[in-house]
Amino acid sequence: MSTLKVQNLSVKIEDKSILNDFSLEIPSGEVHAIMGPNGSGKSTLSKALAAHPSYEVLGGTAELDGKNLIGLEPDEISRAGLFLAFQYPIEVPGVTIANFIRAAIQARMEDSKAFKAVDYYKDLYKKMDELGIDRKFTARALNDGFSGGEKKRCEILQMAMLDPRFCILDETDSGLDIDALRVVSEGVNSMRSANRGFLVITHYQRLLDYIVPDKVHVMWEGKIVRSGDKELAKELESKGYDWIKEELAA
Amino acid sequence: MITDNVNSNTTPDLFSEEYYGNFAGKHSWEPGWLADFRSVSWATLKENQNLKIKDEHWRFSPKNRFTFTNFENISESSNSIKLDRSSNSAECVLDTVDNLLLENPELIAELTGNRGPNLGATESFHLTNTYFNNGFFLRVPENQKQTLRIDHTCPAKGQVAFHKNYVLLDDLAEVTLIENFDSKNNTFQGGLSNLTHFKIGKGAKLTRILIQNMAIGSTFHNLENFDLHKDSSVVNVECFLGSEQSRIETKGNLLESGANFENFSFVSGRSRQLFDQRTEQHHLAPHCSSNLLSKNLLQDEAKSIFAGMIKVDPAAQQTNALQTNRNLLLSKEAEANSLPGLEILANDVRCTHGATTSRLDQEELFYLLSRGIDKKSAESLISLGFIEEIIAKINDENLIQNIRDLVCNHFR
Repeated sequence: MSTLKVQNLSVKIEDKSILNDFSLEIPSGEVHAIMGPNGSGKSTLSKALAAHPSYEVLGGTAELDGKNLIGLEPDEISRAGLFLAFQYPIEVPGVTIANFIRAAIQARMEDSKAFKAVDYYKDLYKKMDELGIDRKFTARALNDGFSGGEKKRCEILQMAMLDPRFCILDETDSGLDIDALRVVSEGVNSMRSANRGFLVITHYQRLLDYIVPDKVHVMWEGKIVRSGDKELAKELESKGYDWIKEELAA
Repeated sequence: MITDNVNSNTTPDLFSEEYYGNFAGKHSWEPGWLADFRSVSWATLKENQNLKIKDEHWRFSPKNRFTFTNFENISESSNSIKLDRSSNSAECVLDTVDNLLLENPELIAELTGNRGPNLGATESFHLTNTYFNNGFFLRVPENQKQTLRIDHTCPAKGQVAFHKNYVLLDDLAEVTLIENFDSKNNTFQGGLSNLTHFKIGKGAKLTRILIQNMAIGSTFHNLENFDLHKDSSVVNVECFLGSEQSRIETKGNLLESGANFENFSFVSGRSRQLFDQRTEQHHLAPHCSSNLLSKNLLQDEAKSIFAGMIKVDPAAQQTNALQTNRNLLLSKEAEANSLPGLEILANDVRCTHGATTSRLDQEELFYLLSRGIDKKSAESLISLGFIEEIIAKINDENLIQNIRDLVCNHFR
């Protein structure tokens, strides 16, 4: 089981309130998508759940299988099973992908000395091959000089290697060409299972053609204002967000 | 074994005539030319001691932390240096000064007479010339290829060792020289003043790796002067991790055309460690190149000073010289000072210099934390990434891993 239950979450950045009493439950095994215009609070939700220090949680809870993540440090949240694929992955000069993922795996082990390098590389290469990442990338510095597509593939590689219970994909489709979008989506789809939940944040319906969601939510001014099935995404694509705005005003 | 524990009823003072007199007496068996050399060095030391000049070479540096007055004695010479002779050939000369003074003193004659880097640490330079009782002599003949390792050991608290070394590469020789500066354990918190003159013959290549991991509490003075002749090449990689305070002076003299001098270093400082690094890339001949990259990684209240000079003489046309200093501060109290400098007297050159100081990037840190890596490990990874550019110059995976482990220990 990997259920994410967010209740009455309120978040601000600096003095600006972004999320107000936000609630959402994503049962284990389901993929939910959140769509919404710029500034509606989608990325704030993902950053707040991962405990980014710039975001202050004013109230509410976010439970992963009953464990409240609010108040935990970012590394504790990650080890609790939540993975955030970044919209803009950070470049870390001098730290190779192989060493980085290795450190993340060892951080999850009770005895880091029990780490088996041979097994690790076997698994790493297998997943790199599946994502179409050149094996030489293991020696390259993390995201340093990577193209947009390479960065996103690298995010999915990390997700696959860390085997989290719940994944948040924050605008993973941004900056991807059609081929990269297909490869990244296949990587995500291969991880879908009854024991893992996904929250996919996107502006565009296009991604949801590849990663078909169980539910689609529309976010507006820090709240979910409408929920539906995958057809809601198509409706949004054809009518635009003004349609929601007009309905809310009515 | 030569013992230089000069007995005295009062606390000995290395600067006193009595102490020097006793030292000279104990060394009366040495050749006359060496006694003369020590005597001249002693006289120069005393002359300079009373000079009160404003010294740019000590800017930002708490000079009192480098004083020699705290040392009670010169350490026993034979304990402070160890040579690995396993890979040197019969034609190659590698020995300690300690041995050579007894067995082959005329070779030591080569040790005298060089001017040193002369970048401000005149006291340690003249004291080392006066009191040296150990060090190493290395001469690699023409066309020989060698990998050699030297271990210097810091003496116990209250004692100081003076090492004077000479590295001579004949034409077309190719040498990798690994020098370790360490303490036997944490109680070995004395001082080590190390003066090395490198003479690199025509077309010769030197890769030199220095790793300093002496005990906290100790003092390290390292003065080195590289003379590069036609088409020779030096890649000098220095890793500074230990000691309470280190004064590092490195000068590359590009004497003849086609020479190439590359100087890469990093500092990993914590607690109240002080690293004072002064460098000079001196271009005296045309068509030479030099490159310096100095990186300082500072935690807690650690402090660094980098003062680098590129000096291009009028004759040194077509010079290509680079100098970069980068500092990463991991705490609010850490302090990095940069003094990059250019002095160019030729008109057809390409010279660049630059310095940057930054704090730990919070977005980088969050990214690593978000993958489950704890804060200390994340800082350690980012720090290793910061210095990777330096250690990547070392072509020995085991050595690189040892250095990485030493840096990681600073985050435990």
